[in-house]
Amino acid sequence: MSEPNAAARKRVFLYIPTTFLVLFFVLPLVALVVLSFWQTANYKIVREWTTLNYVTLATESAYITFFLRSLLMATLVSIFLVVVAWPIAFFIVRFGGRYKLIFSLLLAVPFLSGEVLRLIALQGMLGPTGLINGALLRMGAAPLRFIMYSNSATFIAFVYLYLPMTVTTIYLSLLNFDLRLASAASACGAGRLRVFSEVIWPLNLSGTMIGFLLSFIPTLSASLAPRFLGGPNGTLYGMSMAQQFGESGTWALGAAMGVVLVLFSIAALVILSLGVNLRRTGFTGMER
Amino acid sequence: MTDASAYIKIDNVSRHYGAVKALHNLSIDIAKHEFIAILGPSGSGKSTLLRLIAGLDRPSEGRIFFKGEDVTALPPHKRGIGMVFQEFLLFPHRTVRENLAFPLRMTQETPAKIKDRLDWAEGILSLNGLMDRYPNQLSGGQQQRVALGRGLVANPTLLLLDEPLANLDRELRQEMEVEIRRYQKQLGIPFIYVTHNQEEALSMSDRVAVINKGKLEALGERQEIYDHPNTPFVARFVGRATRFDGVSDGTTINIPEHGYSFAPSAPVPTGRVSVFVKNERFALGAAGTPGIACTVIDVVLRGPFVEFILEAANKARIIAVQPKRPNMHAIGADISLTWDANLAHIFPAEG
Amino acid sequence: MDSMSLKDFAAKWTMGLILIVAYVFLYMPIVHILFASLSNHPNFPYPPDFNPKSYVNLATNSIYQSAFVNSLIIASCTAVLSTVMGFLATIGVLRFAGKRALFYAVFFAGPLFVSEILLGISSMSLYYLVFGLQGNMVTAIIANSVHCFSFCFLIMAAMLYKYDWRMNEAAIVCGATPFRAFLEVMLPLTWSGIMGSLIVAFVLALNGLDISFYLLGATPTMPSVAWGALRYGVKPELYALSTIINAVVFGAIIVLFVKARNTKTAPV
Repeated sequence: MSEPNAAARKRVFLYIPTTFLVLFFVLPLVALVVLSFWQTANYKIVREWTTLNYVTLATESAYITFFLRSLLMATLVSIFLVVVAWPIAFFIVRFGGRYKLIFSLLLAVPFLSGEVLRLIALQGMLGPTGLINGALLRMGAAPLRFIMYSNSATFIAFVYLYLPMTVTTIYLSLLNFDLRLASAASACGAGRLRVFSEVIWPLNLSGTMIGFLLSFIPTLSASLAPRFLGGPNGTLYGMSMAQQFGESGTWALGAAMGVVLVLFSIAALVILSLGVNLRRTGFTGMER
Repeated sequence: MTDASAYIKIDNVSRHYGAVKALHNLSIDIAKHEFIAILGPSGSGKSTLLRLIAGLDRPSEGRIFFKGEDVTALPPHKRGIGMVFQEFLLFPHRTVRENLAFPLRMTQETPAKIKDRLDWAEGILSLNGLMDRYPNQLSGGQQQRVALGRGLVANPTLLLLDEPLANLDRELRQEMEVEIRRYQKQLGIPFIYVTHNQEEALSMSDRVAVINKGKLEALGERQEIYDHPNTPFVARFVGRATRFDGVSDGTTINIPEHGYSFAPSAPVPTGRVSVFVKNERFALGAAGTPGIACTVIDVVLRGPFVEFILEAANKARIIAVQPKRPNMHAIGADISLTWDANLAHIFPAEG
Repeated sequence: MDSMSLKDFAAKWTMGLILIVAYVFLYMPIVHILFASLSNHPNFPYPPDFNPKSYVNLATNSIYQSAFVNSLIIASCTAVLSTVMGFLATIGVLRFAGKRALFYAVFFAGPLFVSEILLGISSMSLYYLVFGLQGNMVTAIIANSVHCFSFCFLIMAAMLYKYDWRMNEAAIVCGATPFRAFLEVMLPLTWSGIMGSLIVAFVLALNGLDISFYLLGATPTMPSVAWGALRYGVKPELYALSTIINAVVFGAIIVLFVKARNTKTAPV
């Protein structure tokens, strides 16, 4: 008597969101894949199966350069963010006391005001007429060229955009970590470095990986920051993809670029999760 | 086969979770003025039974009747029951008064009636001065009273109690045992009390149902269950007993490991038997008299009682409980252990 | 012993210093454009002065007005839709998924790992190129909801994970219908998680460019108008817009924070 009842509830609570995601998340991705095997000619879709788009992407040196540049950029940005986010998150959890929540909220809040507006704010700092170079000019010094329309400017922008996300993820991981375990390790005679490398780091590895991915994936396919700050040699893959859907009107090629980005995002996800043994990171299952 | 006029009737109820049989063909009739304890080890299915009666879970087979009405398919909120949980589960965002008024509001009582019932609960549970506090401002015992009050305030058909004393300390527990029993006598509705603690079951209830592995092992008056267990499980689980392996010829039972024999006056099964002796029914005689020769290796004081930890010649440990008296056996003393042959419980050996 | 504590001290304050640098890095641009939006010299607004001209320009610009209305509609609908879906998903995973809980949790967190622009482009591919449908407000709301869904799911899951579900049973055996138990017991006890989900989804949808950009075509939203205006250089109006949005976000977070604090200290 109870089984059909539980099944009905399961339908409501699991199947509705699942259907929602299948229809509006999975299906669009499938459409993207389909489109990537078609062609665009004169701003019209030609519904004929072809792998030409992928051949173009794999052979034209410009696309290869854009891709490698994106991959390098995403890797460097994410590593930098993890390295910076760890001490910040650790400091808040360890020494934040009753102000922990405020400290962490203050770091997370800028994330909410949106990419465009945050880039506008950042450009107010970095641009040729921005605060930093404006101040330097007033002092009679030469402006810093590397922060204007360059890959370094894009790098700074990505750090600015995704720092809140990375810190919050690692903070949440550390918050759920029982710091007394670190004390237990010290009591067993472990030095500071060993406590970190043998207890704290492995038990927060999965949270760190998620933080890494949450900056890596949007950086890999970013289009706004490089377009706005990257300058002539700053074209990234996502920006080029956006152009296929905009000015060039080569949607099918853009779709293929999208597929490449999704595949590489998934690859990054899989590689990093293979490196994480859930049991060894203290995962005890979903049941409480 | 069951009495149709029973106030609460649990008729051949089973609950299976896939292949797991949590409850198996269980029938109990409960009379209107009865306090019944459901006793079993953890995982025995006793909490499942309670959830079935409450309607929080539905039986796979069988029916449940309240006052002759079939409630098997009725959802819990239409059954008119009260329930007290082990963790109390008071609503943390509501004051004591609001917690107590909750069941009354659900049955759409008039404000006057609600006030009347709240006053009644405040009085009977001695909650004076606590009515406007939040649950986290109360002690464990006070929370327990509020939980009881919330279960009783809407005049339920019956009250279900799921190990309600497990989270209280020992002294408070004994105090509450007396109180809960008093409320039951006063209200005249059945209390169904689930516990794994045999002392609680024996101290409060009229009848005890012993459940093991989803099956009803025994159902009867508490004294009857204690004095005349009908299965080895009940003999072991109700009260504290020591088990001996023996061989019976129909009249005399020999316990080879201790070289001791006794002969009950009633006939006994033949062959290999299990003998259970309640720890307080051992007699400690002077060394050299007939019995199992033992040495006292420790003496544990438990208020008015004393536990003697004994060691027999074959190194087996036996615990004997005696009332506290002056000039007791000291540690290291040699004694001879015997028991009244008619007070031992004898079953054919299992397996 | 002394050198140990000295090392500890150094480690602590190195970390503290990084935290302070991070705050400065994150907030200096925000504060800078606040001054810039109020100044006659937006490029170097120091010493700060107070000139509301850019705000007046912003308020009287009809494109911004309609963009504001559109963004508000998209953000509100997205907040509700993604929170409802996220709520169902949270309960589904915590209560009814059994052994598949991890599988469902990963699936529901999936959109987090597909960037916004890819969500926008793939949704556009589906609607426009496969079905021949023009993008409209509804498709923009749905695609935004997919993006926000994972955030909502995680926020509410973190809240409901600690909830004792037998609280609902306690209400039901008191005679409450399951819906009443939800309304009177569960909702008040988990309200801050639901509120957090609503606010985060609202703000994300209000400010996201990529999804609306690909799914709305000519319909202006605030981020898309801001993006369009950027091509002609940054104007003080954009600083004003950014400042207003930052103020709204801060206001919302403060409300949420105070609410969460009150429920924590007073009755619970």
